Amino acid sequence: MKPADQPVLLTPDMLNQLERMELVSRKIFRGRMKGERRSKRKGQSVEFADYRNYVPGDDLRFIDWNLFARLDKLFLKLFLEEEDLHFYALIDCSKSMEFGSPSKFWYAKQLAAALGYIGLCRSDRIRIEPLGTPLAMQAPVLRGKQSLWRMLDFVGKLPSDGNQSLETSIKSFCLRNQGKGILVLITDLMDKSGYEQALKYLISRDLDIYLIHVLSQEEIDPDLKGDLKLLDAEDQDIAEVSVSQRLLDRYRHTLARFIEGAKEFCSKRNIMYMMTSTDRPVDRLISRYLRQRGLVR
Amino acid sequence: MSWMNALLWWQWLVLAVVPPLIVLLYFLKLRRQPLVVPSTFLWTKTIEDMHVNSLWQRLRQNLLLFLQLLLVLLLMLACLRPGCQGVELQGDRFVFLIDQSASMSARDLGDRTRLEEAKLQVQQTIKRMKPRDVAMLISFSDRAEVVQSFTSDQNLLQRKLADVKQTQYKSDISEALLAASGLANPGRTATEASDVQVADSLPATLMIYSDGAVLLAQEILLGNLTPQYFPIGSPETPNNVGIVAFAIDDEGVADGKLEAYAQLQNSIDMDRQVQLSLTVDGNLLDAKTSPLLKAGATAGLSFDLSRLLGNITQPQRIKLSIEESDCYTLDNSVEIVLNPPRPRNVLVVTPGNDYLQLALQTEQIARIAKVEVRGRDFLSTPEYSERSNLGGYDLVIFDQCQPAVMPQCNTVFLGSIPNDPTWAWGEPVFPTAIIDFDRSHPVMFGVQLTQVMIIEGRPLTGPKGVQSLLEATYGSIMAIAPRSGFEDLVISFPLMSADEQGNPTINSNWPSQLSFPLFVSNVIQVLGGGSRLLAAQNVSPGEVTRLPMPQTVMQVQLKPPQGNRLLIQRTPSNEFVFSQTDQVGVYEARPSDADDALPVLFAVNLMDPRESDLLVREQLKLGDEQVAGDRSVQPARQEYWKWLVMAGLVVLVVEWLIYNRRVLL
Repeated sequence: MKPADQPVLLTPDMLNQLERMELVSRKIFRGRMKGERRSKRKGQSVEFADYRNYVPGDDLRFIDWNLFARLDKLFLKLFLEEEDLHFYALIDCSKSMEFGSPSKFWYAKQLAAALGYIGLCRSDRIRIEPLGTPLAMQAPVLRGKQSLWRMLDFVGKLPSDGNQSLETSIKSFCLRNQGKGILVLITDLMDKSGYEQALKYLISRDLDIYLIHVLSQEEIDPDLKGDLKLLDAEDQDIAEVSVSQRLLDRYRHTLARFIEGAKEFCSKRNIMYMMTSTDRPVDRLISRYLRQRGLVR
Repeated sequence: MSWMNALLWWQWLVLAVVPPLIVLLYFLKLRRQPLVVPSTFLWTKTIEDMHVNSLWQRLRQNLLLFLQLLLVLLLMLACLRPGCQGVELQGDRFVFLIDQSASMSARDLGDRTRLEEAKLQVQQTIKRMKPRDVAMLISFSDRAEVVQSFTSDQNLLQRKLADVKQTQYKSDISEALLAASGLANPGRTATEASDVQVADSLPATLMIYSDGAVLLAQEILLGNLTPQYFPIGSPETPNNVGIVAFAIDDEGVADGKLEAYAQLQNSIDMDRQVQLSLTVDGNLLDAKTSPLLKAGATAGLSFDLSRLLGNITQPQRIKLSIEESDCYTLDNSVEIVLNPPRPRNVLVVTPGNDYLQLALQTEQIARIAKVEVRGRDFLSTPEYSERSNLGGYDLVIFDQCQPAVMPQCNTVFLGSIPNDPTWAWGEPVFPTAIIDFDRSHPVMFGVQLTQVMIIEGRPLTGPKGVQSLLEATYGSIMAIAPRSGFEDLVISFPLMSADEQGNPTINSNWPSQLSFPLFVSNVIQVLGGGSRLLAAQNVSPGEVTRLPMPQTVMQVQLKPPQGNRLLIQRTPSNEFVFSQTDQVGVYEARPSDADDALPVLFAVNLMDPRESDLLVREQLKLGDEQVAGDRSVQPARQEYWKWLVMAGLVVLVVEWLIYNRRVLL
């Protein structure tokens, strides 16, 4: 698709809508920089957290002198620290994502950009990384609303030519990124080597993981007929089928089982799973479904 | 249930290859269309699931294949033509003779006519034919038509059978039998090694569908034909009284008398009387009750038409009708035409013949003819040329003279012969003794020539068709011959001759005999226009007729009783010949460029006692052979192949639906 023909990833209306949201983590992580989120660490915010006994070397400014006057003991006031949040959006860039109308890849990019923008608005640390492409190394770490255009430019130029398996790509991601935070994996899970091992790598990182399973309407309800030779877009594998109502029913059954399997795998491992169709608008997905699941508020 | 093989062995071989071919094509899956999908991951899993094969699943997957095989199986079964209850025809060559004469229009079988019943029976018989049997269709009335020559195509035979139409002709089976025996009994057979065999002698079954009221005008050798006769019509005596003759006697017109005679025939097996009505141009003139008609007998009655005589200024249609209706309507009414009377125009060209002129002045001739006597010089005048060419004369008598061109009318030559190379005479012979004369010809009616003596005569020879009326010892001295619709009577001896000084001398004593004026009167009546003057000619259906039209008319417009007007051109032989006299009724002809001209009418009537006798003959006599009628109706074979083809179509539709619409099965 030519750049001139590309629709805008995030429209002004969507930006207005997203600005009012914030990413929510089910866990509290230690950030790297001071941000707008409460940290496990005690810091210098205005919110009181606790007292502890004074030990030599402590900052005298935090001694509670009123308590010393009553009890004649030195206690140090502890305040909650506010830090930034790490947000990772991983986009599956395999060729299978290029199908559908709009394509699953476009949908994934739009979703990643939208979630990223929410994070930017809250000064979170945003990293949108394409899986399975060399560009993964160049994914910038973004922070602040001023990084919006860099993010959109980077996401907009992502190609769907990934040739690595999901497992390899995620393993590579995990080795390169040690930060804790929220991770949203946007993929169609159409990997013949399986998605389980890839997710296990993520689990080991103790991240707050969200799996957005994107499928096109053509995959959910295929409109096929006749005797067909199906060619796999990724590995050119061939499957010969004679389409009948029974075969289609069987396919739908297989798909349902596949989705159910993924859901079950995720729920057992504290991964928030959500299947969506490309027919469902991204803003609706975020404002309604992801809000219900607690990713945003 | 029985089977009839409709295909040859090699056709079966081709058909047998089809099912394996379908299976082969199915497994080759030649029509599989490539389609790129995001991933075959789920499809492969789906197929793997389905490949946990039970036999039933495999069968269901191959449903299209089985439907295709079922379709071919149904078509193969259809080719075997399953059927039941039929009685096969014996033999392999059949000739169907279907009577389409007038009597076959009788409705004595309920709503159907006899012809319709015959066609129905032939239709059933064709259905009973085996696939390779051949048959031929011939329809006949008084003529025969090969509707379809030998063919094994039963559909073609059925279509041609439907084309057989009812006619109003008489019935004569001779021509049909000749046509049928033409192939079964070839006229020429090889007897020597050098002879070429024209056709093989092939036996055939001759199946005649008729009511038996047929004439066999000539003996036909059936030879290899095995005749079967199927009487068509009610076995009971049909209810029919018909008019079998109706004529007008205009002999007494000169005396103011005009009569019509009719003859009725009763073909019922009981005595009967019928009411008759006579109309003139649609106006009732007379009504009568017929005399008692005995069973199977005929009776005559007459009608007095004398009061019409003074009023006939144009041709009149006289119609006689039986008021009671019966199963055969064609003979219930008869229509004839009465022309206005006019005197005959007779021209006598003579150097002077007192005896002849005296004979022409009798009171009787004066009533019926207008005689004009002229000298020989008149022949060279324009007046003669015009009147003789335009039909101005009904008869010209040339006494010892000869015209340069023959007139367009009947002629009598006395002591001379026509200016025509077909006529010739010999040298004068003296003495001339009469040895015989023809009393049967109308001009010789009542003429007694035994006392007649002739001094000098000449032997005559004439054209083809000449009839000698008076024979002398050396040959014919009086003869009559046709000439393009006219007749020329030639008498080779003059009544008067001249001696060496040119004084008139008598050549015969005939003028002094009583027979001479009688002969002259006959000539005027017969050759001068005869009985046609008042009662127009009656024509049988299908008969060729000549229309009497003036010479100046080049084209005639003819209006048949039903249907569109026809245009008739003058033929090279200078006549108006009309052959399409298919319908019974009055035909009206008039010059095409003169609509107000007095029309020439002529009537076409069947009036055939044989056709009116509706009794179905249970036996048919074909020459020496008596063929007994067979009224047993053999059931036609009930074919099921159409149902199989229909089932095949349904299978095809189901297969199409499954293939395209993914019907849940």
